[in-house]
Amino acid sequence: MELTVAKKDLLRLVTRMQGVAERKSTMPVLSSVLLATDGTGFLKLAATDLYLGLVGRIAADVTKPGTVAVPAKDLFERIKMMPDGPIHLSAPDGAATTLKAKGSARRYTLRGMPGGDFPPLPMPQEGSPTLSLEVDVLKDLIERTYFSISTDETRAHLNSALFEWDGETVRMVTTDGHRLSKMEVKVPGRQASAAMLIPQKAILELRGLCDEMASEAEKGTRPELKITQSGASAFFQAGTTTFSVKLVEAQFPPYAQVIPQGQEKIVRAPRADLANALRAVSIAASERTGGVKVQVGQGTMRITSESPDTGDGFDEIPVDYTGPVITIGFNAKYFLDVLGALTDDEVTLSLSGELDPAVLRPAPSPKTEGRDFLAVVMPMRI
Amino acid sequence: MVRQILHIDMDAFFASVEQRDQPELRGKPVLVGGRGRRSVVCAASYEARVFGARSAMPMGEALRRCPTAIVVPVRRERYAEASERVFDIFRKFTPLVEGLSLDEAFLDVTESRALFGDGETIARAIRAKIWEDTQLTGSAGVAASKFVAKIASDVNKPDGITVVPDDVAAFLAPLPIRRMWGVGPKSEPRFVALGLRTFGDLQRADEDWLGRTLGEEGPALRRLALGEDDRPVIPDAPAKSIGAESTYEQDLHTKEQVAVCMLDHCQRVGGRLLENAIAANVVVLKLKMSNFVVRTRRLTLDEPVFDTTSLYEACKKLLAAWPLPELSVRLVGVSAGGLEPAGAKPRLFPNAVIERRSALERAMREASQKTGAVLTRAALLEPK
Repeated sequence: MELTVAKKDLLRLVTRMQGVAERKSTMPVLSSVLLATDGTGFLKLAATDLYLGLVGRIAADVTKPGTVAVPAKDLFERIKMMPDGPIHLSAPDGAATTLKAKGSARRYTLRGMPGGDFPPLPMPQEGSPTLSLEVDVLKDLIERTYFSISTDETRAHLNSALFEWDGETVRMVTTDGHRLSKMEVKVPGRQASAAMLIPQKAILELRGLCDEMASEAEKGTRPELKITQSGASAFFQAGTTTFSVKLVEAQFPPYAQVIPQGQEKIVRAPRADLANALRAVSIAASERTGGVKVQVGQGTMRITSESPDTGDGFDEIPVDYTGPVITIGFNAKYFLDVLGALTDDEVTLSLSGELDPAVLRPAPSPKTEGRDFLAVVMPMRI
Repeated sequence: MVRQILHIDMDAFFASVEQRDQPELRGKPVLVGGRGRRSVVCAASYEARVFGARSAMPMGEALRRCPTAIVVPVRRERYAEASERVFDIFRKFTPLVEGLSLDEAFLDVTESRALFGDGETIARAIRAKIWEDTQLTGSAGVAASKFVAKIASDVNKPDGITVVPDDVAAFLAPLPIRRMWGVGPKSEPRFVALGLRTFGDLQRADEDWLGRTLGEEGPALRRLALGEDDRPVIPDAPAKSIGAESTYEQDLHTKEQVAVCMLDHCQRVGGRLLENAIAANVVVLKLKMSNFVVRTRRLTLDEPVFDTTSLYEACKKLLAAWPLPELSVRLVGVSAGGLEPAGAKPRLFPNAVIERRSALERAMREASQKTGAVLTRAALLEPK
């Protein structure tokens, strides 16, 4: 194999590949990136940890076709150190791979494996249904709900995000059992029905992919992703890059039934002030529980914390509320995560009893048109 | 400021509780413990100690030394109850109470003197109150450090009080080296061979020489021998785990045998969790093999539990994954960790199975409290 590519293109794609390849694997090939010539004009790259797969290609000047698999991290570090400009890549016997900068003496040789050792990546079956979604919409879905994915890898059904296409609505829901967040966006004129449970690691990679596409998009355009569900996998295609995900085969909890309906006590509060007060009071909360007590009365919200070891904290902010006084305990972090994922000026907090779940939403505004977010937070006994 | 530390040590605690509860045992040698081949003495009354019986001694050996001793079974709940009352008394005099076990604690009363008088007065008041409330006796040591207070409480034992005079070094000097922290019957000869028979010998020794002959510990031991110890009294933190374990008469060789023992322990741990309204996120199974190698395995649960069945299920998972095909187990222990107040964090998707089990556990407990009957699992019934 012998070819020349632009450093900029190669570095960008290898950076993405590195996120997918396993850092420490008992199978070295899973820590590697596959490099394969594609005709005379392209270099194809691929990485997989057997759950996620990423395939992409960049323009290349191929002089001799071939394939090789090289350690992802090593390749990334070396390309980064190359001077800008064209890089000459050669793997004469299919394994030892040499990187050489054109017009510079800098050179690396990497130990690789024959490209044939690289596992085949899943491909969508012919005719599988494909949907188009704006990158900014997927990015929005992920950013509003990412924080409440359970980090417990032993519970696959919570260590993932539910992605649903329901009529003209796309939706993402995540929960760790104590809190839940749901984001819905209307996509008028695109009727479909699909549901997939995407593992956390894939969500993280998708977010990176969306960020990259959004930042490279020309002003005024809205790049799109193609989403294909086929067998046990989903495929997200952005231009020449395809990201495949082995979906979680588990039952997501029945989220709709835990979203409280008809709550009467509704508090409207400025988002930034509420977050500041919560953050300030929570540093004095018991380290073990992180619990703060929220008391809402006519026009004010009082936030208090107590710790057996370090004393207590208090703050008060004006809010819009006219009902009876209600006191409820929360893990401050659960609230702060929600407030941090929003950009709206005002939020509403809907409450029932002191042991009933609370619901946080952005206060209705022109910005929330066609976009519906809510977070359910379970209280704690304080 | 010179601190005022008390060390209070209950006298032959378990045995004294038994003698208090059973008047026919008073004045007689009593050994608390099992009668089995592998049992050890948990406590010996002073009448039994005269014959050389000691706690932690194998029961057989204690009975050889004191054949007339009356052996009574261990009733931990009863001792825990008495201990709680004693510790409640401690906390009336200072919040700085550091328990070492059920029957022993350090108290920092430096700041309490303004309210209750000097260390000696407080020690006398505490001893009087313990007798009044529990009809048990404790011995007290009063000193400026933990180390010296602990040594002092042993000087006039039982039912005594020792106030260490200002010249601490002179008080400690005549004490034999085996009273030193970390010096036991095994290491004592080594010290004696170096000419260190008493605290006084250590006090006079050269630090460099001590460092060379005893290693890093040497100079530290000399400072202790002079009564220099600035370790603070650290008040007890809430329990980090709750456990139960037993050593068995005969080694257990099958997983089925171990499972029955686990169930027994889970029932005890579950009972204590329920009693204290706490739930566990972690279950730890501990096995000590017949070659005394101890192995533990832990499992983090999906959600906090306190019921016997859920604890037992976790233990069974741990046991099933135990790598050794051939087992030879002398001790089985189960403990619950990652504790939190039960029901403190309601969940969005409550687990119906665990809720049912919790309700059952509560109902069983209420029924046994009402009727006085002991409810247990069929698997734990012993054939008569």
